[in-house]
Amino acid sequence: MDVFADLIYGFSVALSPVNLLYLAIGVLVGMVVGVMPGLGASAGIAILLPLTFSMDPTSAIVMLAAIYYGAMFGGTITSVLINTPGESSTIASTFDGYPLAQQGRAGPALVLCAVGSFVAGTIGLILLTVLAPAFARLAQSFGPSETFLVVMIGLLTLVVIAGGKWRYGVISALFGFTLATVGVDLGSGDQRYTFGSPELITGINFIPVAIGLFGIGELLYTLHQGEHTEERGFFRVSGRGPELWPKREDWSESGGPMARGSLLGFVVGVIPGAGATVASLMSYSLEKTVSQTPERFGKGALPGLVGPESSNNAASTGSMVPLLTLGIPGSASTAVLLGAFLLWGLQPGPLLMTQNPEFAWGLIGSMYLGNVMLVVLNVFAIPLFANIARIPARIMVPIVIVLCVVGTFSVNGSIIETWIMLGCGVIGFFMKLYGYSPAATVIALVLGPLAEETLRQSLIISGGLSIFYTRSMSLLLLIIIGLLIAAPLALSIYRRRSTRDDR
Amino acid sequence: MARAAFSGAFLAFALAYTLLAFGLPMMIESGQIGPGFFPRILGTMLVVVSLYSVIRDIREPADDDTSSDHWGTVGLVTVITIAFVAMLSILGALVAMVLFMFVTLYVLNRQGMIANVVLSILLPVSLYLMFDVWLNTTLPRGVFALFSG
Amino acid sequence: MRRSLTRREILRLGGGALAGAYTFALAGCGAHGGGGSQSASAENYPQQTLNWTIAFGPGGGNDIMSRQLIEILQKNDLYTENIVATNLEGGDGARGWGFLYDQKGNSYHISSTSGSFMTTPLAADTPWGPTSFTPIGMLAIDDTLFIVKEDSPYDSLEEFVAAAKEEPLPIGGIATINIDFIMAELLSQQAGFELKYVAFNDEGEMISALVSEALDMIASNPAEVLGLVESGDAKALAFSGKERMRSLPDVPTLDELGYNIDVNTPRGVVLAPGVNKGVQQWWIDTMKKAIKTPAWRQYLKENDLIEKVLWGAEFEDYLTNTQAKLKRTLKEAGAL
Repeated sequence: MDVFADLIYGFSVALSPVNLLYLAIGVLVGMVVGVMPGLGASAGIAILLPLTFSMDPTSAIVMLAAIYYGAMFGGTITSVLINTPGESSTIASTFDGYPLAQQGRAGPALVLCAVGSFVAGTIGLILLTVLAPAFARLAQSFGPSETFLVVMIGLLTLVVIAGGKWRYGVISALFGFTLATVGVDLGSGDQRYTFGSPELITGINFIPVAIGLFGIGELLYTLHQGEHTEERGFFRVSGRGPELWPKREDWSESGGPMARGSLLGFVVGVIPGAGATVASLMSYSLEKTVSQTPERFGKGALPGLVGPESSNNAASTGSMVPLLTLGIPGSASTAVLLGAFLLWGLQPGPLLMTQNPEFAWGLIGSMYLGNVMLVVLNVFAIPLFANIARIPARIMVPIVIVLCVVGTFSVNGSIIETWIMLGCGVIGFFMKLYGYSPAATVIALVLGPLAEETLRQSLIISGGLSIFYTRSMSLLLLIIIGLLIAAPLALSIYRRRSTRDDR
Repeated sequence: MARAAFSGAFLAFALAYTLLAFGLPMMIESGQIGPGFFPRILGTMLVVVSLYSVIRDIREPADDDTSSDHWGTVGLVTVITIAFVAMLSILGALVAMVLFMFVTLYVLNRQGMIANVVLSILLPVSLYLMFDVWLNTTLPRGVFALFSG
Repeated sequence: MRRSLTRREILRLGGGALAGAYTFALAGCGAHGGGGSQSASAENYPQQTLNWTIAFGPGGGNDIMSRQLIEILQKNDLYTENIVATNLEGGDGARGWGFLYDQKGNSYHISSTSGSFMTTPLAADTPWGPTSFTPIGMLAIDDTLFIVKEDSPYDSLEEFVAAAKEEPLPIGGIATINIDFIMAELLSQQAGFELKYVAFNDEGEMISALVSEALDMIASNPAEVLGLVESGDAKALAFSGKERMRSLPDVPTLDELGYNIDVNTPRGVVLAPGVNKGVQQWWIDTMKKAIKTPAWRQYLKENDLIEKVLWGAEFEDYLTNTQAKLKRTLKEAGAL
């Protein structure tokens, strides 16, 4: 079997001492980033990106990806122990995780989460291993028109399922696209929106924008919520003894949610635009629906914690499928990862797996190993990371601001980019406050040049819009877009009708 | 109203962007689509959506509560951070970081002054060592160049 | 998809980096980033990491040659410090060379030339022209191969031309106004069909578009697509060189098919503008050694490049003359 040989090769790459070292660092940093509320995976990856410039591309991506899925593990600890999600994808984990901690069952809860995340990560990886090459083959039927439509699907999904007002999501995405048009036009070579500044010729870098929107923006929001005035309600977890280990019935109760969460999470993760956050929320409602005791949910039901936890890990693995085979990120974190790929001259797309097997399979191989490391780390070092979660916001905020500023400056040594970062921080705060989608902005910024180029190519090829419906694959994607637009519209009309009827 | 003002800021941005977009050529001589094509579409869409958004924001009351007792802190920390970035190139990264940490911790965490001082020195120094010495990324040294190595 | 490097990133990479499997570097040695003028005298040159800007995407002809040269320079200890290669694609080279242009006087910035080096300044309002830089030398000329997908109905250029006369067929090439475009434009004029040219910035995306049947034919330097032709995924219809390719002896040249298209891609290297004479001479001497290495001979042979060597001022004259010629061609084609 081809895939098997590729995977073995991937392991051989991942097992090199250097890659193993960076994987371990990435996993640890990911845990820390995940545990720190206010520092999300996307900001974490963006800040640490400059540190990888001295590495081999494979090692760099292995490490950055480890930060991404490591943060999924770490975020749980904060959610359970202090009722604040360390990551947006662990919001659902606060619903039942914190009540469990209040009942003194934080230890078993976290162990089960770690195991669930590991199981999900591994199931997700097996699916990724099998499906990625198949996806890459499918992606070979993707020309410019299909690529353009997939970008649109990704952003629309994000806007539609983000839940907030669609107009805010659309503004966020369009804003990202407009930022992407700054600099030399990729088609004609003419300068646009540079106002004669040499700093802007190569465009607005995504790193300061991501750090600003997700780093500073999130911190200001933390202050706005008054978290710096709160003492963190905190539950101790003991590192050993019977209270750490789940009981037999806990295990049997968690098996189903783990399996369901893994599959659901992976499928949601594969959809461009839908990421781990959506997957975990969907898993929560799924578990609540199938549960025989839905009334326990919100009061410390294990399935309500383990399901979403498994789901967000499977989703982070699933999101590697469109990222690697199409170059389309499903979330802000994967958008930052995509930016990192491009930094290394690695062009994700159908050809990546065949042209850069060392990289693609090395990454997949490293994710298996990373998952093992994470589960070990989580089971045995929970008390250690729990201490980080305990650092109050009033101390965390200045630390993370310094990291954001220094991290941005170190990318290019550019003070202008540091100002851009700060500006984006203020914008990001208001976006968060009013329910806009900073993730859509970053994804649109990263994908903007691709969207513009493929649109232009499509229009030239067909001399009009016909290419979007004469090619069968494009037509299919166009129908999906139609449904994505129609569904929420229909829903809102229906809602408005029913509220009117109520009156 | 603050919400409408934020949409309004996007509208203003969209108008300026679109105005400039219409100054860019739609086509280039070889018959290819020119640099102005995509910005015109984007700009027009952004104007339409943000205009609609402003109108909706004014007409319907917000359904979520964005009030806070901590606006002062948000503003203050923002101002301190702006000062921090401004000071980066003047004082150098190390000094600016120490000052920023100390002032911000003073604002947020007045109880633990000793811990504040220790942290304000420890974190910047370790970051400085990591970025400037170990990773060899140039951090701003400032006019004094006190700690340039 | 190409929001990749910003201008200063390349400098920053000076901390020691690599962008290929070969450029291993130790963190912490090398340049001090930071920008500004880093002019050096020739005696103690080189002392810092060299920043090699590739103005096109990974996998393109320019990229392949640059990375080949870097490997030669490093393996043979011709350049003793690190070399960091960075793809700054976009805007037909305007992005990469625009970046290099901003590095005035910095002797640690280098780039490789393509056809766009002369055509982009003609088409777009760039602050630089082909003679704005410090010329090192021209090393070879690269020709163009026209390929179609393996199951394409067209087995020869004649068949393609006949079909294109019925209905314009999309032809892909790298960059908007570049050698690929001029080649396709002249072909369409001489054959009498209407050209539908689709510009790409990235070889991989262009090949994807061909494989997905969004394009009917692509014009490309042989190095990038030879693999596809040899693996049977694509068919080569014509070659623009004076003689047939060694590796594809069955593919007719455009001359043989009755076309008269005399354009090709100059493969050379230039330093940032205003680099001092000593360093320029150092590079000319070094490149003279580099092109004698077996690895370079092998590269030329494998990619069917024709060696054409011009140093310093001669290279600059060649660029000026060729640009004037291309300008006439583009004017006649109505593309300017």
